[in-house]
Amino acid sequence: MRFGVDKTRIAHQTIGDEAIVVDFQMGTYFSLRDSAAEIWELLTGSMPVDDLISLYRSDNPEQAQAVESEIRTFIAELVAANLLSRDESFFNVDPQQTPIKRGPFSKPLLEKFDDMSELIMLDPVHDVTEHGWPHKIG
Amino acid sequence: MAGAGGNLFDEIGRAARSIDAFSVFRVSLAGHELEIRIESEDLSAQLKPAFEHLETSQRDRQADLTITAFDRPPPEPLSATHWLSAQNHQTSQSVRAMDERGMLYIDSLTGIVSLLDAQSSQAGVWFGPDARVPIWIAAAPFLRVLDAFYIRNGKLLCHGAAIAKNERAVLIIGPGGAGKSTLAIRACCSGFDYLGDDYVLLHPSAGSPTNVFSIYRSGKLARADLASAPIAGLDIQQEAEDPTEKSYFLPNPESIRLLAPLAAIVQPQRRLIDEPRLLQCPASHAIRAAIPSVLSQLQGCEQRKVEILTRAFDVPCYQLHLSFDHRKNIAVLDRILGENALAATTDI
Repeated sequence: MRFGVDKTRIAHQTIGDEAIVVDFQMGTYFSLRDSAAEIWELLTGSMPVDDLISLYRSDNPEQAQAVESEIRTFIAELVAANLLSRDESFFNVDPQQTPIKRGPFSKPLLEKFDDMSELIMLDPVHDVTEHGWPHKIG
Repeated sequence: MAGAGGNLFDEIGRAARSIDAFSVFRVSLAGHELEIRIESEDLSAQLKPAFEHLETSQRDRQADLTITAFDRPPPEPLSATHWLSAQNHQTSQSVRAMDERGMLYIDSLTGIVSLLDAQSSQAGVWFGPDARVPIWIAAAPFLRVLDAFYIRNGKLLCHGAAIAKNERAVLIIGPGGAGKSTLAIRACCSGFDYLGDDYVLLHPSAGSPTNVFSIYRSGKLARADLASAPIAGLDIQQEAEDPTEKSYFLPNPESIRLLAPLAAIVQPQRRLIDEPRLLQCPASHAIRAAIPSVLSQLQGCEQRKVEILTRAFDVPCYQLHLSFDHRKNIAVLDRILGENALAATTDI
């Protein structure tokens, strides 16, 4: 299974050991640090979930089961928050070629901030069709 | 989309050809030549002062973008009521459409319609007849068009103030009411150069510091702020009728700076304490503080904006808890832009 990002709703960028993910339609902002940021980068680079889990299991053979469980829970959270999509049209067709450095595994956490939502409600803007342009009446 | 969008875009050239502009001038901004055409004397008097510091007499090449400001309602194909989007419009929601070719924005509050055709390098902004332009529009004309044009050219129109000293700039970020304008204007009146109090243009480039460009010469300050501690030398253009609203003024032309390399980010917080407190923070904290207002003030191309913002914020970032004593706050900015590296009070 692979995932992609719906860029009509989500913007993201990784700085150092933190990935910043913004849902600009809902006005929510997420911070993913350390292993969470690595996993985000790998998933949004179109790595299949099974390959990703194998990678972390082999990195952490003594806690393989616990690591897999924590990663699967984390991915479920990303999907529930609509940050990742199974829609193939959102898959990254040109993934970054640079290998992603992996530090020691830490429980991946999704930290959520919703202080944008109030601001967005102050200035509501709506794209008017799925293609962006208005449709003429009649 | 091409059909609908194409018809809309044709309206810019058709409308521009139908008028005899009262005012035509060129500005040079961040490596781009913009030609601005304003239909009437009244509209020109309201919009032109914000760009006076960028005016250039050079006309040796074709403008990168021609913006025409109309003193009339938009043509029928651009009327909000003509489209299904009218439902949004009638519920006081603005309408935005954007793709690689261009951008349409119908502002529900003012009725102003902005349309950019990046393919033909033309934009039209319809202000309506006998328009008394609101203070926030007069202080930042063509904001939507400039945002959509510059993001296509790798430059971010950032919601924030900027000042400079010693050839280095500080970007002051935060939501409305955080104290950005007050800090920037008071700094400008204390010997700092002024780049802007509400919007500036950021251009990160590989291997060199991000450049901060001044867009508007104008500034806005709350009447209450001005009343509590008057600032000498401000040329007030429009005074707000309501004391809770902001007045629009033009800083002294000698204090305006067109460009400076970015040296630091400051996020002011109104604490009204005796001594200001400066806290160094990770770039990610500053980015989190900037993103809400940057993305919500000017929507569209969010991924590109977040990428530029994160590249630009690769400089020391601080929170500044403001003192009620403006001179002490300015002294902190002086230390940040001083010759020697600054040690913040505390890391966070």
